[in-house]
Amino acid sequence: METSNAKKKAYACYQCGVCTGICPMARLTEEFKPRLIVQDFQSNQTEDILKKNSLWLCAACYCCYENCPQMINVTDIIADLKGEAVKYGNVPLKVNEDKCIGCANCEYVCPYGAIKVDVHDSKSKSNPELCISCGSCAAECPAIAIAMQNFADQQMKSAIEKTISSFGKGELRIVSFLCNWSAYAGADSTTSSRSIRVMCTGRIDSLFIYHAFLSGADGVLIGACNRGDCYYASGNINAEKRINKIKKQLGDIGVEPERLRFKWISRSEKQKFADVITDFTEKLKKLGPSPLRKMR
Amino acid sequence: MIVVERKNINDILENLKGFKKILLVGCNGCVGIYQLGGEKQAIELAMLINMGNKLKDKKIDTKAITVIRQCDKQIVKEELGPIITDCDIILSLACGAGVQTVAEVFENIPVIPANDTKFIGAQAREKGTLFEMCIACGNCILDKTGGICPVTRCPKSHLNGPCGGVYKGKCETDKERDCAWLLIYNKLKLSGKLESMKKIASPKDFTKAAHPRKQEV
Amino acid sequence: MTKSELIKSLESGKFTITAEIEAPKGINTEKIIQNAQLLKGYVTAINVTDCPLGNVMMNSLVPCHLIQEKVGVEAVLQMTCRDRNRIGIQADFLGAAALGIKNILALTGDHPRLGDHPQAKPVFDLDSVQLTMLIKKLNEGFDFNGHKLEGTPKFHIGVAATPGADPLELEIIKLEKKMEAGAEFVQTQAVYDINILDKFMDAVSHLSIKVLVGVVPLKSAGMAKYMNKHVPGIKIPEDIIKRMEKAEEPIKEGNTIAAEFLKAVKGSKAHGAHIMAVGTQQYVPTIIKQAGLI
Repeated sequence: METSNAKKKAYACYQCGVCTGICPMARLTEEFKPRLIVQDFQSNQTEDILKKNSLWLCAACYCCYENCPQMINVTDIIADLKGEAVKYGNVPLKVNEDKCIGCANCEYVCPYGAIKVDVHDSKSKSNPELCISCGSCAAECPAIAIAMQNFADQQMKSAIEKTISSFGKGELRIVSFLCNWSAYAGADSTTSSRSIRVMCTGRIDSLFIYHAFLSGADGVLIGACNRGDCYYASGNINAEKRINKIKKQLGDIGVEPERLRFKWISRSEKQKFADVITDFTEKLKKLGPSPLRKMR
Repeated sequence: MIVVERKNINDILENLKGFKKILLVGCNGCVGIYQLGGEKQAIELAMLINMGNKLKDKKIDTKAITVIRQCDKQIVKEELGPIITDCDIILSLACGAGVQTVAEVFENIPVIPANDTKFIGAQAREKGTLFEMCIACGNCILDKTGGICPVTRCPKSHLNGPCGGVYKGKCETDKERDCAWLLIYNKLKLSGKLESMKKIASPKDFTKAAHPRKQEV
Repeated sequence: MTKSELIKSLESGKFTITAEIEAPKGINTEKIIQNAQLLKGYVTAINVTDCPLGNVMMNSLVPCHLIQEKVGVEAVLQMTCRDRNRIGIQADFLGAAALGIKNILALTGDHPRLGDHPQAKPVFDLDSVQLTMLIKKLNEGFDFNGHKLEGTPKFHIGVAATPGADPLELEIIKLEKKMEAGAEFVQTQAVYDINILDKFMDAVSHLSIKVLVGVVPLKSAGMAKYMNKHVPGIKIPEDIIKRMEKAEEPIKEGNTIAAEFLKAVKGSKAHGAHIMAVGTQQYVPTIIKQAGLI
């Protein structure tokens, strides 16, 4: 790695920060800043980065490279670092082989061929170099055997609880799961909903939705990329299928299925997002607080 | 593999009436693989039951556990044995074979099914659909029918060719369904084996399919 | 036992006509007897359907018997595999033989899903080829499993075929099997196009089977379009539909078309025709007369 082309190029960086500014993932979390990664890489101080899970947030969109005035291929630098990180046991996801049942639902849902069931032991094996941690595999796994390192199940559940507890008394509790690539871009324009950003709506596990309602949400909104626009190929389509199944179950048990809404909102449709939120809020106002909340 | 379908949640709740501690038991066999009764589905169902309880203002404990195969007495006994004392009803997410195995192992605890067991099927993942492929008739004729089972895939289980109801290659019972015999004809023709359907197939011997069957292994 | 009138007529080389009537939905048998009387003298035999589409109707054995006894026209008992297993079917056949039924049309039967009892469990213990084998076995004096019968029935076995089937080769393979199993005559699905019939007759020329071509008089252009769209193996040519559309009296026009086709069938290699005029049996004599066949 010492003599790689990436390394040579990195010397040209003068820390302007365009990469971080343009990075969709840097918007997602404080922990991920391409500029700092390049800086540490320049000065050979990569040990810290290599241990951080956030390294796997890079979705290889190449926005940084395209916008770098020095034409430094930051994406490939990070890719090299990812390869190195694996040696430290830092991976995007972990498969619990004791739980894995070899059903291959993960393999089917992964658009990158980054997770596959090994024909010899019938256990799922992930390939970190191909994975860009969209999380669809974890959401589909019927055995709960896949643990994402970013947006981990527990993190997501805490985020849901935190969001719900942030609402004041009498306020409508809308929990929004928004795709970082699309719907979230429109979310700044409104304050009526607290949103939980996800790298891809494909990550949204059915358990998260049930958890939100059981924790007292009045409504749950999922904002996904338009059909065909998903950065991770089909995460939004998988999410829609999952949501439709949950809607049916909610309706059967007696929670109005309208409380769960799935919407396609691209990043340029700020107005649509605002309209969706307004419409959803009005619908929920008519429905009143969730029946799960009225009790006890 | 065995394909099941979730019962309506209200029917399940009706069966759970009067019980205080429910143990949901998922199965990582067929139903797990098809995402119909694995660990996640067991937890989902537990959450739904909790919702139902909240709505009806009841206090019921739910606990979910999943075993590799519910149709194996030994596994069921070992995995569930230690925790079984803490529940007063078992809700099984397995197929009918799994439910009955659990019921047999734990004589004094009621066991109810969460699913309707439907058929032996195969998966078309693109469509997210499971198709019935075998009715377990007990005397396989796939050698003569190009690997396509007319006993299962023809609603009339015909052995000698299509009935008069085939219309534009589809079945009279469902315009979306391919006529199994047309599939067989095409397959045999392409593989140069059309002769194998020209011999009259005798009526099936249903003694081999008479319930209940058993098999020494 | 002597041969049936139907088979005698077919073997004599005479152009033979049969017609079909439905068993009553209920217990009133007067109407079918009246209908059969209308047909007397015009047709050689009358078929009685076995719960067509899976709609519950009277057991066809009873009307068959009444037609033979009270009207004096030979009956063709239609039997499907839908509602009876091989035991039930044999029981009915033994009864039929005792009552003097001589002709049987061995059919698969429509799936119950199409009828008024879609919840019913479909039987289909046998298919039509196997049903043919079963009748042949009875004719030999044994039940299907080879046990000796007291007295031997003598049934003439008819089967169905669809001349317009696609692919025709598959239909012919099945018909060959039915022949091998013991079929003597075939009553076909409705045909409207003489070219289709000619093609079919060429395809069965290697079989020594007697073919009675299905003729269904049209009642309206809508019926023609519906049949084209929904009834398997039926292809009604565009010019016939146009004639029906233009007609001031569609039923009359439908009868004329049927009569013209009947004439064409007489000129073909087929051995006869089977007229299925469900609900309009009263016109059958007119059609036959119009075709100049009487």
